[in-house]
Amino acid sequence: METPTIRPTPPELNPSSAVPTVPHAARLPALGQRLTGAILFGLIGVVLWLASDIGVPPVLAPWTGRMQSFATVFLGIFVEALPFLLAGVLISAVIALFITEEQINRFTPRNPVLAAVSGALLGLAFPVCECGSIPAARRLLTKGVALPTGIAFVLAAPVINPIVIVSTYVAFGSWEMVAWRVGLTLLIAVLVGLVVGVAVSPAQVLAHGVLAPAVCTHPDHDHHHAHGHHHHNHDHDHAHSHSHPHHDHSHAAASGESNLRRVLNHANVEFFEMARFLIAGAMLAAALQTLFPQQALLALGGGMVISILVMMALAVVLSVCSTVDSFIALSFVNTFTPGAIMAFLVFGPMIDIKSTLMLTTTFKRHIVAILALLTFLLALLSGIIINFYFS
Amino acid sequence: MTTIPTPAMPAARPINYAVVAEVLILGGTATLLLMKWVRGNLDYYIHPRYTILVVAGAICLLMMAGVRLRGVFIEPRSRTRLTWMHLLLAMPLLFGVLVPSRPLGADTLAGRGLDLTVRAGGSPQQASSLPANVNEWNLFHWNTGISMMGTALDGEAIDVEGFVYHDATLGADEFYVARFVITCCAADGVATGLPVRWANGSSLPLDAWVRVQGTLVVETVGDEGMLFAVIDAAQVEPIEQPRLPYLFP
Repeated sequence: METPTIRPTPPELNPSSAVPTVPHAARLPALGQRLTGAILFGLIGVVLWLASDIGVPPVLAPWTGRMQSFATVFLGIFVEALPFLLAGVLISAVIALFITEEQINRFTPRNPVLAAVSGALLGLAFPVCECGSIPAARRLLTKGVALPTGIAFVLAAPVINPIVIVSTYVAFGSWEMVAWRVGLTLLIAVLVGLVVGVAVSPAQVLAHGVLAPAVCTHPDHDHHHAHGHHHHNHDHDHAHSHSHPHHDHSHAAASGESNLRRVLNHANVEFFEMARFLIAGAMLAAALQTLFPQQALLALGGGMVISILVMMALAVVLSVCSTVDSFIALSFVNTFTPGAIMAFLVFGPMIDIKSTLMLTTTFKRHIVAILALLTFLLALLSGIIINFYFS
Repeated sequence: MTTIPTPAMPAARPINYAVVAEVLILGGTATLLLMKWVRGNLDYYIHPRYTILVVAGAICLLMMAGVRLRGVFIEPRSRTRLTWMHLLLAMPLLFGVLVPSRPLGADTLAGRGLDLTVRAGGSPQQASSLPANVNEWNLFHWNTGISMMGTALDGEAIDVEGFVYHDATLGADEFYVARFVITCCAADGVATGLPVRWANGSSLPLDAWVRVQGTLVVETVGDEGMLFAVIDAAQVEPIEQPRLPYLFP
């Protein structure tokens, strides 16, 4: 299938030509970025001051309470996602250090459809939610997993995994609900994986630093490749060869490190890369919740199409983990149409504020936009079909 | 600014402040979470069933901080720089330390609105979660019960705890007694509550915790048979905030 929006990026086709232009072009946006950053941090500073209730004048006192509830919601999302993010970066570190490309290639089907389906089902082996599936998918893609597999995995793993299947069953008490949720997720993840993954090359899709060694132009590429086939010492080699996405990672003492230390060091680097998006996303979601009342939205629960849009918007704003969202969906069963509930359960784990930000660590920004848009349209369509034909 | 380390003397490398910041963020965030757990405040943010996961996460963060500690001296400063990103990463720590731990309350309600839409019928799952003994019902149980049984509950004796919330739609002798219902974390908190008739009820301080005892009045209003419920209070006494301020369905 054609995706013309990706075409007008010819410099990316030859990654080596893009490298020298970076410092030149980056100068002007850097100033704008710095200004935006200063304004944002200033704003956060004011919120922090109001919420801390330290020397806040009585005129501003009413804001203290609201900013404190912002802090509670923000920390709530962060605390809830943290264990799952840590699980994800630990799994990613283990893949990075102990699984070779040869092993992965042996299990990746060549046929794109099979590749996408296998990616979508891979979550059964990695019980992670969206915070965990993104680092894991990024690592798999770095290891040379096919694009349809990686994309289908990142979209489907938050739903098609043992924990979420059980929690969905516990919440709704019906296997029919589980079948719908898993089936639709599988379908959408495979479709999006095929559309985005087959039409373009990895160099056009993946963010800087995620490129698989075969297409990567990093200086240590040759070094890496030369050692890749020496099986007797691959553990040691991988600690070095896979450092290239993380330039600030110390491997000075890699040879003398215990496995646990290496896993933790690896997880640490990735944790910092991912956590900033989790934190920014959690703040944004908490700000939206504090500033805009949801009550008005919830009055629209009965509309055949509008209810679906409302529940999808709610999934994005709430940004809760897929392991628990079925319990939240349950509380809307009486007010919202079945299609809306299903769209919430299928779309929410794939796309929300924090996962969209985190996806930019793995895919180029316009690809993230395309992933979000395609997923949105397919989930909306599913909801509409359910509302008009199955209820 | 940057001092180039002498290759001959690797031991004399200067301190890498970016790594120091990383160790402080990891260790500090872990300590914060463990402190909140020890003090029982973690329940303000997340359902108690996930406490074990959060504590495990905090221990994992501590281990990562310990491993990272080594980089403070051996990692050259040119490779990692202290940036604004570190400030962003420190946000949970800053908010956790500087903002007093407070559960969602009346201030949050002002932004979210109270879920008082009493509806006919309830899902079977909700019905099975209701305790058999009406005396054990909390505000969430009562609201679920009212939506399922309607006027059958009219005249029942009621004894509930919650915080005080005022709304412009209520009269001078009325207030809401409310509780937040949390499915997973504070982000999904939904308030549930009932209006209370109590002499001078509107003068009760906002957000104060009270125990309300009285009689439940349930009546149908208008042609569409909308259910309306209110507590006719016999006694309203101030209480301490419960150890678990939220209700968990």
